[in-house]
Amino acid sequence: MSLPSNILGVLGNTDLDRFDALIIGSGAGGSAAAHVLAATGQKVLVLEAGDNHFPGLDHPGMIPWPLYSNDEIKMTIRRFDFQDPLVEPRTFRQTERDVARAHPDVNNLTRNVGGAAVISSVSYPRFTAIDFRMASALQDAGRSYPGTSFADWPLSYDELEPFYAETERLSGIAGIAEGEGADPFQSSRSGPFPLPPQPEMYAGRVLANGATQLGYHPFNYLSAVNTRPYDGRSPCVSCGLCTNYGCARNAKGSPAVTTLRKALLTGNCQLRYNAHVSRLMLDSARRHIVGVEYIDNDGQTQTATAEYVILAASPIESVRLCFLSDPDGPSIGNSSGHLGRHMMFHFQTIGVGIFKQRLHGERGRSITNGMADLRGITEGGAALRQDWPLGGVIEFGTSSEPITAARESLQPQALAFAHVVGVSFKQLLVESPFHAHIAVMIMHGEDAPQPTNRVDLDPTVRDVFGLPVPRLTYKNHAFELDASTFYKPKMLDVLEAAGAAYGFFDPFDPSVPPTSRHIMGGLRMGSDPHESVCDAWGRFHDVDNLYCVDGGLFVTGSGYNPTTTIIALGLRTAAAIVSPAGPERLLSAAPPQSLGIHTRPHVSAIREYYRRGRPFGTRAAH
Amino acid sequence: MRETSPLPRAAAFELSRRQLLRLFTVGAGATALRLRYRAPALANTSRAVGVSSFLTTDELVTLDAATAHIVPTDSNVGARECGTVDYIQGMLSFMPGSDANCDRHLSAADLSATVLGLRMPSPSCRDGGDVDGNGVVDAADVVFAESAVFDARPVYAGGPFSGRHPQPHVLEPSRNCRACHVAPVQQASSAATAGVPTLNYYPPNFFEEHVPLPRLQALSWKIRILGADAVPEVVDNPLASEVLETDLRRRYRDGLAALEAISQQQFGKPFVQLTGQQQTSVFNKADPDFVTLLTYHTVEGMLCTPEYGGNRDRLGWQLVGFDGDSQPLGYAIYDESVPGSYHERPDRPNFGPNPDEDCAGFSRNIDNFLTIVSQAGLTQPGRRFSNPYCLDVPK
Repeated sequence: MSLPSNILGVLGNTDLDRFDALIIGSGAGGSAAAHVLAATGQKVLVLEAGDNHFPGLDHPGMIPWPLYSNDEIKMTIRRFDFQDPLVEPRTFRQTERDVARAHPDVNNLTRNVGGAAVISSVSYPRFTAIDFRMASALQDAGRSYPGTSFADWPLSYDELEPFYAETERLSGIAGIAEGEGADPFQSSRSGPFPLPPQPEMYAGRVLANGATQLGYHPFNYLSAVNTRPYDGRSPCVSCGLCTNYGCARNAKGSPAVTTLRKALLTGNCQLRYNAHVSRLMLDSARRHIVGVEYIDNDGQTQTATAEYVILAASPIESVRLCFLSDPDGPSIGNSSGHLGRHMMFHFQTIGVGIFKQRLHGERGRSITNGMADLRGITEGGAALRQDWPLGGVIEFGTSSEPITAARESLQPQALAFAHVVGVSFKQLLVESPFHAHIAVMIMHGEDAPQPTNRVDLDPTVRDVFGLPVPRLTYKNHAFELDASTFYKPKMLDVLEAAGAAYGFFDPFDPSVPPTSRHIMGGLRMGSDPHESVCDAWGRFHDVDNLYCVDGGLFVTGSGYNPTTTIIALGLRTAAAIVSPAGPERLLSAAPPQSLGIHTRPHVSAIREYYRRGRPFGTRAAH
Repeated sequence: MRETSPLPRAAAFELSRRQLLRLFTVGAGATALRLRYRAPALANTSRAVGVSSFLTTDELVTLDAATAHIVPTDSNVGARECGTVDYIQGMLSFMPGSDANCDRHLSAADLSATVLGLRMPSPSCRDGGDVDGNGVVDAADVVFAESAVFDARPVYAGGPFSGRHPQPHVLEPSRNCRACHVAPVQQASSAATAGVPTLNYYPPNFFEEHVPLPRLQALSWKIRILGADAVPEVVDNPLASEVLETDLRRRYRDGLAALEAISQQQFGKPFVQLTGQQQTSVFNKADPDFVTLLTYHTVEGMLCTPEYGGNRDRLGWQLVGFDGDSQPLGYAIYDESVPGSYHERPDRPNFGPNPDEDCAGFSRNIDNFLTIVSQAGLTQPGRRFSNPYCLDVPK
């Protein structure tokens, strides 16, 4: 069957036809790897399953305006970017004994050029020193949790620090390194943040005020949002519709407009979008990938080859590809039996404060304030905090989207409730207690790795291509549930000190799959091939030319947002591929190209896009 | 209810004199048609020139009454004034592929292209006009294209800007903004921009464009509009038939017919003539899934960006105190002259409350409701705090 395929999908150098590297996924990890490889002369092919909403991204000169906008119907209600469960479902169950059911949101991420970070709040803190040796720390403290699979990472914070610094420089992180407004629980840094801190929004200020009164240390959240012109991109104007929205003015330093764009501009990189990789092709010895098969926008199967292949499809899809690619064998990378296991998502505890005044979530950046006092670690991320469980960083947020707020908070049960006390639907819409008056504390609690929490293939449900879909088996451990219970009263205290009239928590329902969008594990890295899928450099133990650079590598989940670490690992793996002897030496100290004020919006590309009725930017950029 | 035949797929296709005539009528009347449905009484305008919208006049009358029952008009505007019905008609009328000439606008030209079986030679648009995707452009495509071309709103409106807000001048000087146009003086001196260093340059309204759908999204929207049966590829995906927001045309056709049937059976009158209490009783007897769907779409129709057909004159946003899209102006306007500093809009400060706001809180019954919610078992350990206060707002 044919459908309108009025979208051709190539960016970058269209003349390339032989490639050194083939990267599956253009998100945080894939784009980071593409940047390093293309900059060092490797010929890179990136295959992206989603569409491109940055017409002219490969155009030299000013960065063009994207197709993103302050449009709640497009971005959130109709999910412009998200993987669509009607054509690509996933299934979920809590334990092996249950039958998995297809569910519309099994922690689905977006599929688009630049990946999920494009529409995220681009909150980019680092992990801390203790996160890389959590198993040892817990053991030394005499804390044991049966059923968990904590392990130390095969690298230390200090080894990753230069790559963290490079990530922050590439993405343009705004933050305060030390003193008031800094996060005292972050570990030592080799330098300051490249950008000055964010202007606070009202709800963030209100909650930070409460936290300060209780002796906590709220900090200016670390975000890749421009606070001045940086790297040819304009500063943020605090338009308000931020999380779930691609930035209309490219003020978010997401992978698309930073690392990926740099790669495309080298002339060494070609990106094909709407290209859904369906299989990795193994040689007969099962030790070498000879190429990949993908399905293009016409539904036709194509093949692509390269010297080596880098998986960066985000953990659930990367694991699925490994299973799909060797249906008759042991699956790619699964000699240890650990493929798809130890999945982690962060256990979110969401405290909602309702305030008497309007907090105007419709303006301001997504997350400008937060606190890590309830992370359960000591200053500098050096040790476990005695007597406190491991929690997570807390983001101070609010509600910026009126339709979403109405749909989520005005469910039939709530309305029936409201009816009893004589509150009409319209009154709830107009007085807006669950939207205009809320400030929200979102704790990204560390969830324990468990071998039973895993991704494999569903035996019955298939996607629109006829391929088996990922099946998630996931049940929370007492480790994170107890921590959440422990910290909830402390979070309520913050809401009270901040002046809230009411405080409560989003109810937790274990029968519903997690929707944290922080997806980690499944392709765990480690030194021992019997206990891990990938080695300390992201290369598969079982396959000599296959690497992973997405969150799948994570050994433990920390309690901080994961993207910075994904990018840092991607840079590090790519640097090791081209310079095995000294990957750190590849990091240049030079400032990003084309620093300076972005005075002229590059409108011609987008005008062209609409006028010509076909994508712009397929020209080669040499 | 009048008998309707929305999808006469079986109709044999011939480019009859009548059809050609209609096409010309349509072309001439296109401007009038763009006015679209404004109130039930006006819906006949499109009927008069023979264009088949998806929802019929009778259905629109029922739908209008039903959305007005969910958010009634009182001293404030309700769903009716916001044009919620236009939003729903615009959504149900959409069909992937109806942009037959692939110019990212739906217009009479697409209908001509479909009726004449024209296909664009461009490789980027090779299936234009084959709306139902069966490989040929035929009568069924014309039927789909008709409602789509005249009533459909974008599934995904374009970006990045709506043209409702100016460029902050410190960032993007006018002389370099070739796409910007000079706005009328009165727009520049509005309260929203008073005291803010802007030039009166407004970008074009990109929201009026359609972003074309790649293959997977087109398939997905077929499932939403026509149901899983229309897309054989998803036979092994139970979600395609389980999810509420699929098969929307059938759900609306059946759901609105059921509302009328219940009204007639219970009260002997059409739904629109019932009292509010009677309408509530009809809603209680109706399919709860349809009521939920209708509630969702009513909220969407009131609070969407206006380019989707609803939120007429931005009345919905005004009702709930939402300012809508604000790009490229925003709320914290970077000042190039003092590195790292921002201007605020005096009426809409980024860092605090509006100047005219108080700390009065909620009406009594909302307070009662919130007390129950915060102490309900589900949300333990929720609390009602004893000393709420407002930062930066005088008591």
